[in-house]
Amino acid sequence: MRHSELALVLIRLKIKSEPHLLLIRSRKWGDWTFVGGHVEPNEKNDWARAAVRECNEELAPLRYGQDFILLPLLDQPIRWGPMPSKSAGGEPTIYTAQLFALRFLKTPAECLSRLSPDEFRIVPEAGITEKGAASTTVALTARKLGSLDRTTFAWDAALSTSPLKTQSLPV
Amino acid sequence: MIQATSTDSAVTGEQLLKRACALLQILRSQARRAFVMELTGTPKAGKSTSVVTLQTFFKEAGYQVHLLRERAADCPLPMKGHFFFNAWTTARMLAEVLERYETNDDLLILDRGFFDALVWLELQARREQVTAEEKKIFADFVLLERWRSLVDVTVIMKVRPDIALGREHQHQIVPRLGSLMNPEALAEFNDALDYVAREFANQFSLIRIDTTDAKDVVKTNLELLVELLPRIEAWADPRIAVVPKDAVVQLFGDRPFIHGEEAKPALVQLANQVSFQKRSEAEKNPNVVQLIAAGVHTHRDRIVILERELLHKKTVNYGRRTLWIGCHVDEDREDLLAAATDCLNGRIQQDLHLSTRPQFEFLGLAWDKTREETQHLGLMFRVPIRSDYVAEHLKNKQFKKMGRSGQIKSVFMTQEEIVTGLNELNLEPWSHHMALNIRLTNA
Repeated sequence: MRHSELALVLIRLKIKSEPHLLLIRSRKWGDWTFVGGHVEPNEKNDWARAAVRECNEELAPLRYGQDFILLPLLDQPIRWGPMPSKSAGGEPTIYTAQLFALRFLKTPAECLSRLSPDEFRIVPEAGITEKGAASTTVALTARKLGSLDRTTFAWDAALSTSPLKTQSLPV
Repeated sequence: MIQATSTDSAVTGEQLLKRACALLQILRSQARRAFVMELTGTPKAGKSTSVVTLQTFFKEAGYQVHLLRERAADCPLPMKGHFFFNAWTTARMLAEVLERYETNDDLLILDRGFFDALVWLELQARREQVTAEEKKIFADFVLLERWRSLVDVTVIMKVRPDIALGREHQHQIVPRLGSLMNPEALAEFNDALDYVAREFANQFSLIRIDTTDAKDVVKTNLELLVELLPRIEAWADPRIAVVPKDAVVQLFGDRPFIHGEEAKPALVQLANQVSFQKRSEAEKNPNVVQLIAAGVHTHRDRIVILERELLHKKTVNYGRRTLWIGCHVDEDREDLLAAATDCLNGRIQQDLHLSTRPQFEFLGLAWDKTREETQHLGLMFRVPIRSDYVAEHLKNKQFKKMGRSGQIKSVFMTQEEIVTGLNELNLEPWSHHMALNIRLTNA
């Protein structure tokens, strides 16, 4: 069986008290999907590394550590499949995905203004699973998250509203 | 009468001294506290001589030895041998043990201690000076696991009453019988000694010596050392769980961590390959990896960060802060997970002074092959603190120690704060990986 590991970054924004998601246009398929991507062989089980790499690529000029940080959302990755993989000619594939929440270190508006408007789209979270709203990956992830026990993940804490205040560290 | 090992006549004091010297190196690098031994027994059995002999011997071998003198002579209470007298000497002895066990001492010698307190208690019960209920409560107190477990070996020296009296009267111009130094009382004492040894056999690690027929003091003490050194060795250099490095390399591949659905099967695979080795041997063996049980304490949305002293050698080697508390797995059990959590539980009690038996949630396996130091494999657990009171009490707390293991401080932070401040935190590698990759707290 073919296995595919993904590091997916969920960028949640609160707009008029409604949660929204920032999605990126998939260069390969043209649909709207999460920032993130495949975990390279040298990144196996170090999803954070893959997620940071993908974010720095896809969200450029925003930089990890300066403009945003990533927080793991789950205590273990989610799985789905086997289902036919588009990129592997329909070969049945089991997907394993670890999800990260992106937190802006500056105001979200300021960060978003530096991104190319053509490549990104902010969509309301409600209805994300409906056909045609976003990529299959987004729909499947959202459905999977919805079925998870809410105590196992930090979904609400991941809502980006204002920049994170860092508590000064004890030395 | 030394049990088990018969003394090889070829064993000389010099050889034992050499062995004790070698053992000291291991003890200093691995033990977290002093080795504690109690000597007790019939008056005139040779106990005081042995105490002095052992003290001299171990000092000669380079040990920092602390002797806890018998306190009976210091007790201002007039009624020797009575319950309050026993309570006074026991409390005094306990206070001194607590003061000393975690200093830089290598060896603590108790001239009468916990076992002796129980012998006197038994005598007092037989004389109807204490009720059965009082006896039970006092014995339970003396045997409280926390301090009873601090005594690593108990040497009981026994001698027949007539021989004891002979030794007592040997140098006296006018021999007299005393309240204890008379045939009946000594026989009663010996009987109580045997009773306590039988009754509490599984609570003490005993070495029993009968000096009734002993002619040569040096020989008796040589025999005692021959019994004693392996006990110190087994304590300072416990057998710990290791797995072949090849198996670990194969299991982890390029991964620094195994979690999620793969973790449990990986653990089963590891468990099949576990063997036990003396820790000092494992440290030197590049072909094995030592198993470490490690727990991350969490409370609501916060994670407990443990901060070492800036100049501690672990700060230099691994990093200033860590998210876990851990220890070697030195219990040989069928169920590796149960053995690991048991060991971890003991360590949590020692280091954080928590006696809750928490729920351990298995997170996965950590092994960092990118570092030079690849001798340890972590069995990682999440340890949720359920009580707000407990958490509140742990906040910004300094865990002070007198001994060599160094102080730690606990700080509570959210995972968000940890990830944001990662550069300043200087986390050791396993903690670093977990903070970035696994959600450790509930929202």
